[in-house]
Amino acid sequence: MNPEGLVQRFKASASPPIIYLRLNEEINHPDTSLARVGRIISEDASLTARLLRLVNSPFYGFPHRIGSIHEAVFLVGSRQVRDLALVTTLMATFGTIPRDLIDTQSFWLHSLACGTASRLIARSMGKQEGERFFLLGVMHDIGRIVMFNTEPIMSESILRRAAAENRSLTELEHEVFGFTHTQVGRVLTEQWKLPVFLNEVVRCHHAPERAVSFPEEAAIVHAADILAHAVQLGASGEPLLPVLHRPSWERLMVPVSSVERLMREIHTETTAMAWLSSEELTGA
Amino acid sequence: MPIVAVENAPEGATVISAVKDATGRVLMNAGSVLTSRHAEALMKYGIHEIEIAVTDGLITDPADDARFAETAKLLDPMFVRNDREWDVMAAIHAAAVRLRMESEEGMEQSSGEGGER
Repeated sequence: MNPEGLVQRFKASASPPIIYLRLNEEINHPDTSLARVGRIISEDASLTARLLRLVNSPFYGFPHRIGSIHEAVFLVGSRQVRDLALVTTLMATFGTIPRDLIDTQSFWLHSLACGTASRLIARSMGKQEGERFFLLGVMHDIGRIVMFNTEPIMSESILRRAAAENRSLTELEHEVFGFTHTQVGRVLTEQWKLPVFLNEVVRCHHAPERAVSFPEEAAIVHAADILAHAVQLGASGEPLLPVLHRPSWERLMVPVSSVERLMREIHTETTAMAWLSSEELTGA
Repeated sequence: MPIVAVENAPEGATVISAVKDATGRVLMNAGSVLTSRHAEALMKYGIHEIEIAVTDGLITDPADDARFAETAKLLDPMFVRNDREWDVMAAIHAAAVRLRMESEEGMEQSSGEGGER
């Protein structure tokens, strides 16, 4: 068994985010236009509805209601809308988690908390690309979704052992599968041709010191994951708080006196975003 | 989080909610640390109550201390792989404990409300 084999089997049941690739192609085209970006999104009614809900949510806090995708693209920006489109498209992968294995909503809530935490940490560092950091945080554990989906019996066994023995789920993945969710996530993001920054963060979120091209992004999501565990909203199946890498934390310049305030913001904003769950996950 | 009278708020307390004047202008951002000069200025603006964080040494109700210790014990296994002597991890742990206590209080309140109906 290897990560490539698991991803191959997963790809048979989950669709790659084709709309993202189309949007990316359009945005990188020298003659790109906001209208064309809007048109591509409008072709998918379900995506359009989800994006409009997102841009009208507390995530943005616009003073008036945004009624069309064209207005959303104009106000939010084409690259940002593309990243949000990727988040909402990839959310479908959460729906592939076997329901009797782990609580899908709980797993999603942890991912949402990590996305929110990444966005808030990035904002505290003066970074403007909130959607990009939200995407990174929400998708950091995508490899685990592949493992749950393709090997539910082995996954159930390690989830039980991690809880009963209070052991790291990541270590148990390595012990039982011979590889971890970070390696599986790397293979999936490569094969689906997802952005390279997502690939590196998925691969390095437990070891940000190994990031080569995007060390800051890896450090942000690494810390965000730990804070998301600590606020105790949802669960990824990991009973232990991952080890916080000191040099990566120090890189973020978050003062100790702000830690509690940051965690409270993560808690409040994640709770406010929790509406972005059941319908998207179940496709209802 | 406790809402306290500005005149009784301890110096050094962290303000949890932004303090605004009657027109909505922010006088103190959430996360600011209260000083006696702030307190005087707030009272001049007609602000008499603020919401502050509960931090060690500020709120010393023994019942709260006991609940904190009890909740901390529940969460300690989650932190076994991290160095709790590091001030950052100590802050994360303390905040996690307080969030859990508040969440349990919220659940108790909502089950109490349900029972009365």
